[in-house]
Amino acid sequence: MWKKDEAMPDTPREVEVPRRPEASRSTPSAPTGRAVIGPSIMIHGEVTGDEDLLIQGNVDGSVDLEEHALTVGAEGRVKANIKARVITVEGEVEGDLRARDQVVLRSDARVKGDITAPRVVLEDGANFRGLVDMGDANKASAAAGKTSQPSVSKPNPSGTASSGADTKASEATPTSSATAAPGRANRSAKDDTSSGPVSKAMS
Amino acid sequence: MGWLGRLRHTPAHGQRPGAEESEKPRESLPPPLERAAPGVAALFAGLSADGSHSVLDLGPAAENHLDLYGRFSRQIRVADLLTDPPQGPDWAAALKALPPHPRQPYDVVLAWDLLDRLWPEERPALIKRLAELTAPGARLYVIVDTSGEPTTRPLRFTLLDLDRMVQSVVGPPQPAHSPLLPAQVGRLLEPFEVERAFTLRGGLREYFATKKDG
Repeated sequence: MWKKDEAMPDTPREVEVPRRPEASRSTPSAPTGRAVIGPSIMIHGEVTGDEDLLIQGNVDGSVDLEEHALTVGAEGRVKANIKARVITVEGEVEGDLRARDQVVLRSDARVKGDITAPRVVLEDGANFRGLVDMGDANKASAAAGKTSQPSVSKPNPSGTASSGADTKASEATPTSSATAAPGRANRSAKDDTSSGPVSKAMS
Repeated sequence: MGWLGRLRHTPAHGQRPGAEESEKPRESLPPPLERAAPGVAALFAGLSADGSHSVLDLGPAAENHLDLYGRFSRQIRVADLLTDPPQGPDWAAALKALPPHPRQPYDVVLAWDLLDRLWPEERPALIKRLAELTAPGARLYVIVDTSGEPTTRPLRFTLLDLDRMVQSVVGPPQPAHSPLLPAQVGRLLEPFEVERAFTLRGGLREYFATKKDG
């Protein structure tokens, strides 16, 4: 049995999802001052090096750059575990990403694998599936500054739901919500904002 | 071909949201809406912000979510079951591919616009799998459309904070193959017990549930 359904002062309005202004959100970088694996190159095996690397080709194996930056370009297809100081993905990666500083998944990135990094940037549209391990909280805070502790207020449960609604209620019936709902297909910003306060769907 | 791929070619099963998006002419989608997320606030209320928790997010990856979850958990698994489902010969097998947390059972799970988009027979399998992956007392957040409308639009929710979110329509209207009614949710979520439920506009409902011990 659950506790009483709670009607909330839900007043939707049009918004844009805010994005963190970050220096690292620059446009895809040009291949200057670093090694490049071109689009026609296919590598099966271990890739190591002592300089930054841009992969626009196919790599199947492992990539270990330790102290350097690795970029998987928009044409890059990597099936490998990757280790680097900074990893930026614009293409596709299937494998684990381990970065000492940060991992950046740009908007067209497709990544399947686990990410271990003190800081992870996920641009809107990036497709990621896996585990994000940001490591020890204290280390991450030191490394990532405000990122790991966003400057947003902490939750105030008592302010978000009426405490009086915590009493147990009988099982819900579908009628009230069904009649009140305009349906998603017809919902619009105008529909939502023009409605009055939400009434309790269950009583 | 995975279970979802087969479903695409099974007329009796209809179509999951988004699966045919590329085959249909693009339409202008409604603008995103910011709205309250009291269920999310309830979910995270009282959790220690020491990074000791383990979060499983069954929705699309979002940077805001990593920021917010990161207050409570240093290990966050993202598994979008609808648009990027795990592979398997059937739904149950696909769910088995949903990995456990590497160090401890999950204790916070979020399911965005998911349960109502699964076929009725798939829903208990998901809850069963979540029960396997979670610790006693684990917290589950669910937001579903319980409007009973014949068509619904797939939605994406992006948290702005722990009590506000943005709702975005991400695809054309889809037939609601089997609407999930409020009366069904409590039973469906067992062994999770609904602690609080919140009615939002437009037929959406948030549920905050905890897993019963034992």
